Amino acid sequence: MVNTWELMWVGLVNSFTPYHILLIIGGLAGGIFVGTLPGLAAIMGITLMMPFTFAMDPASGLVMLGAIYCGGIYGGANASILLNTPGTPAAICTTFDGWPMTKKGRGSEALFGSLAASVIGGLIGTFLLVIGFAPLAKLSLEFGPPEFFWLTIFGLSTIAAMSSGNIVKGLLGGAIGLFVTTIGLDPFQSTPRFNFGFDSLILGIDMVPVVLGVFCFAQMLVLLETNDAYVAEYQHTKGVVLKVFRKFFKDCKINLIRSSIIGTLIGMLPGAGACIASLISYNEAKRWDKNPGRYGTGVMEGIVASEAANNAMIGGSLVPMLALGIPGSAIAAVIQGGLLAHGMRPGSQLLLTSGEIAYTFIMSLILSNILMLFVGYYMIKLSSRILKVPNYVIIPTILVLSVIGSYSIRNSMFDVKVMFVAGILGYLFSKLKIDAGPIALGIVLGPIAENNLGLSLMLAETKPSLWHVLVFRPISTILIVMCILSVMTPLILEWKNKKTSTNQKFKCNTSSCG
Amino acid sequence: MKKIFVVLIIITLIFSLAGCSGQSGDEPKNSEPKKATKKDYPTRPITLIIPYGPGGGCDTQARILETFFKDEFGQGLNFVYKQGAGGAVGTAEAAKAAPDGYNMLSFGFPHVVLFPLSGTGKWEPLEDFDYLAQVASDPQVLVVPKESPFNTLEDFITYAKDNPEKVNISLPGLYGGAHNVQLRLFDMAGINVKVIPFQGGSAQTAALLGGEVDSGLGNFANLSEEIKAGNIKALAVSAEERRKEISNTPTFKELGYNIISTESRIWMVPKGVETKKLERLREGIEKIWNKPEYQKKMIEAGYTLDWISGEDFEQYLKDYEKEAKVLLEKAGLLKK
Repeated sequence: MVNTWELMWVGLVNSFTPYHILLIIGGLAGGIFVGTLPGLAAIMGITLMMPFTFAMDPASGLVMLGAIYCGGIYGGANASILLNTPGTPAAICTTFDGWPMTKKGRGSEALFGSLAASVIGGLIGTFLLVIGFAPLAKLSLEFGPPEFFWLTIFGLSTIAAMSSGNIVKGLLGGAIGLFVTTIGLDPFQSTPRFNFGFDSLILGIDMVPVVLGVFCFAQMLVLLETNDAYVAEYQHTKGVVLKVFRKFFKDCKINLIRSSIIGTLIGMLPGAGACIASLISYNEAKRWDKNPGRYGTGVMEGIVASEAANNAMIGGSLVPMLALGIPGSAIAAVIQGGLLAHGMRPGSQLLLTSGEIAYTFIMSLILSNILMLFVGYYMIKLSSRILKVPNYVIIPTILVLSVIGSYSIRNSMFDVKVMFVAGILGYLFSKLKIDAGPIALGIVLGPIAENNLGLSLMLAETKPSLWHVLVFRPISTILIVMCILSVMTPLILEWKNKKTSTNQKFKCNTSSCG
Repeated sequence: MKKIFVVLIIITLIFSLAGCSGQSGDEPKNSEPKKATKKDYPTRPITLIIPYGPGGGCDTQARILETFFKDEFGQGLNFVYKQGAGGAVGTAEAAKAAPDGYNMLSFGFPHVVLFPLSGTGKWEPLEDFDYLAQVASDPQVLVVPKESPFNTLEDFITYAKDNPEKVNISLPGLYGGAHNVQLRLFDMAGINVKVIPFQGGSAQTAALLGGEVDSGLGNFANLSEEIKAGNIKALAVSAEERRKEISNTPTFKELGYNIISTESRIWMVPKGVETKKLERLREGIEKIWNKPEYQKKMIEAGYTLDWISGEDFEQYLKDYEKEAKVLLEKAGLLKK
């Protein structure tokens, strides 16, 4: 019988060696750097470093990969906040509140807030990984194709809450995103769709070039419009650290915990990554807030929701990967490859055959998150200098990075063209006040929704009825109810608001008021 | 100010676009170093296309081979990931790459044959590629969830016969080894079972562990850990002999269904590579394959070593292609 406590202790001791600490600091710095640069995603950093880890012994290699993972997912926030361009898809939501804060001159607060939220989220995610390894893995198995389908519908339904102001435009954006994902090969029969005979369109439209186009390229076009010499004004605020911690303690406790749990749970579901985790967490934070209108204007709560969730996702994604050999995210899949190349078989037997190494890896994540606070702080000091760089250097640099980032997905010029088209369209859409967020959501969730709906329909052919597969399942029913609530809530709130304002008008007519 | 701006942007964009090559090879055909003699090959790193995402089954065995590549050949491997359509996109591109000895592909069998026959892949296995080797192969296993009422292959077949279209079977994808077994089994046993293709072995394993599907055909490497742990029941394996890791599982052959099938990892180059270079590659890979350290790493990672040399493999392909055409035609899946 494997003594988990013993393994945890051994793992902790192993990760505290000077060599490992050095590796972690190096990995964090590299990861944050790659994450910060728009166009270079965390997964690239890990894939690049993978061959180097083969020369190391398994535990050290994994420790370094884990540090890069943590740093990479957090790093995107820097670019989101300072330049309104997400450094990685995980940081899309951080732009919603991070950028407005920079414009208001509160950039350093936002930067440190995102770091602290990421660290806390990461710690909670890893903590859940450590204690809930096996039971959480079982939970993730309860999610079959129908549950995944309803989860994506739930994600899409949050569009209604996201687009305060004009729900129709938000839904339009989401629909456009969904449509774009149908271009390419049908997932089951490989029939080409909407490719108009072009071979290149058969590749389909990948999410990353679209995100780079819509969020980075379009943002550069917006910057070009303004005649500003600089992106935004940088103010160095004294005592930022203390201010942020006080704010966290006062207002953000529940937000932090809820966002981290959402991040971990979504991370556990294979196929759902950091982007979805942070999107859903952001919307939940907005929904449960007393004053949802302030989200998007530059509030710390928005940053906390997004960043805590995407780092908590890390721990979650490793749960099914280590326990069942089923990676919870694309990066977890790469790390799984690393494990296999070192001769470790993830799955029910992992703890029996390589328990020490596995737990060294897991416990090192705790160390990585703690050290990230310090490495990240130093990197913030460096990256905030970006605001001192004039626009005419920043804009071409970001454009080049977007091109490189789009090309590097599949080594295909087609993706670069997609990026340009998406960027121009995104820019035009923003003029029509169709937000990029719902479009991105549509593109990320589209393939998952279609794949799982198709699987559910196929499963239903051997069951009594379609209802049995899509509805009469406990988790599905819960998700369906959440979808309905999610769509109804903003509508009900709007209706309530109208009622109170007409009441007030009425009151005003009968009493004396200006 | 604005003018400098615009000019700077245009210049940087031009440079960045020029830096991204549109071809899958490192350099186009006509820029081979003039001094290259056959003794000096390879003079620069070789581009290896992996038609899947990083971290999967194809990538991992390629990474293991890569650790020995530099010592053997003097140059390293540049990994290029081109995923899409289950491997069809990357392989089609590799077929068009320059046959200068600096482009390689690692793919799978029977995908390399079944994809084009079914119209999913745009290449000809024997006309577009020269084969370096098969390095590993994996039999398929018929499995059912832990709580399933089926305990033997006969249980499954009998139930399926009595209840046509009421049972489903999951596959990790179409036109791979599992699909091959499924087509032959259904043909031999005369059963009508609903096929559910998942996107990849992990998704299928999750569905089996969660009891979402009634049965599944999958690769031994993916499923062996869970079978050993008792979370999935194995009914039959498509190998010549029983696998010692799951010694209680009979082979299809034993049970009267002569289905021997494997899914294997193969290495190839676009057709037309100079003979000397082709031989050098084949010889080098064989040397790597024979190294005990390579074999140890592959076994630890869950692969089953199975060597077929490049020339022998081409013959193997020719034979299989004939069979495959018949199989697909019966199932109505042959491309018109």
